[in-house]
Amino acid sequence: MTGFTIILIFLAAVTLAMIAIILRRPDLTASAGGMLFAFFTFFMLPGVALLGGTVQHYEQAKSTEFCVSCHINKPFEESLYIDDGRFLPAAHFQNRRIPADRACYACHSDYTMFGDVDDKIRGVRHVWHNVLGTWSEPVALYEPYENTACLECHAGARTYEEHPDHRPYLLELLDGSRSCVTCHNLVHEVDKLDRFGRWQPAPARIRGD
Amino acid sequence: MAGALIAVGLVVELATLFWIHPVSMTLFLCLGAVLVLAGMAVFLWSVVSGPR
Repeated sequence: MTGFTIILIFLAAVTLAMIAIILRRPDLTASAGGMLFAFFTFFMLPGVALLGGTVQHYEQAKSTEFCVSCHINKPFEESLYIDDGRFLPAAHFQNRRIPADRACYACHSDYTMFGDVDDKIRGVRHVWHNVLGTWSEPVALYEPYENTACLECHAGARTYEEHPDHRPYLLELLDGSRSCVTCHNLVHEVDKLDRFGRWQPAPARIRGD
Repeated sequence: MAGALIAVGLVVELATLFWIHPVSMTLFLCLGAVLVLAGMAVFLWSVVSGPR
């Protein structure tokens, strides 16, 4: 539990206690001071709690735990543990090139809070299908994977820009006319997972997490 | 009325904070947030429409 969650719990508990006080003593709100107390109880504090809850949920939605909590995403989580460095997500995850606790969001950051309305409707539809178990496979991206997600980290890196395989295509990779995954084409491959071994990470106490 | 709406909304908000799942987020936005906002609106309405 984070410190922010504890603050939110405290805020909600204080608000609930203040609501209980007003419900037991409604005459308190007759005075100017009482009205101010009611304003804090019924408007200011719930508003702050709501805003804080929204921020907390938004942050949680970036976590790997959040993404793989849906049944259909389990194979994608498993693909992070493929014992083969040629697999792009596995290589990034296992070598900590992306934060392990935000593994999905690090590369699929175009699914944002402030995306367009279509994204929001799709999100609710995904939840609906997950609850009812009516999803269809294979899972696929709505749009081709964009290089911007890769370049977010790799652009400007010497190992990327001076790599002999990259140099002839730097401009095309930058403007998106050539996709990174044209060459780096071993990605999640969830339909072939059974063909590969699994990497066993060291226990958390040894890793120092 | 406003107190009940806000109290139930806050309880829903608290419950969803402990469950990291898209359903939890949906419940928070579609139920908890709606209840709290409705409670706040009822309170404001009672203030502006009350006796002067």
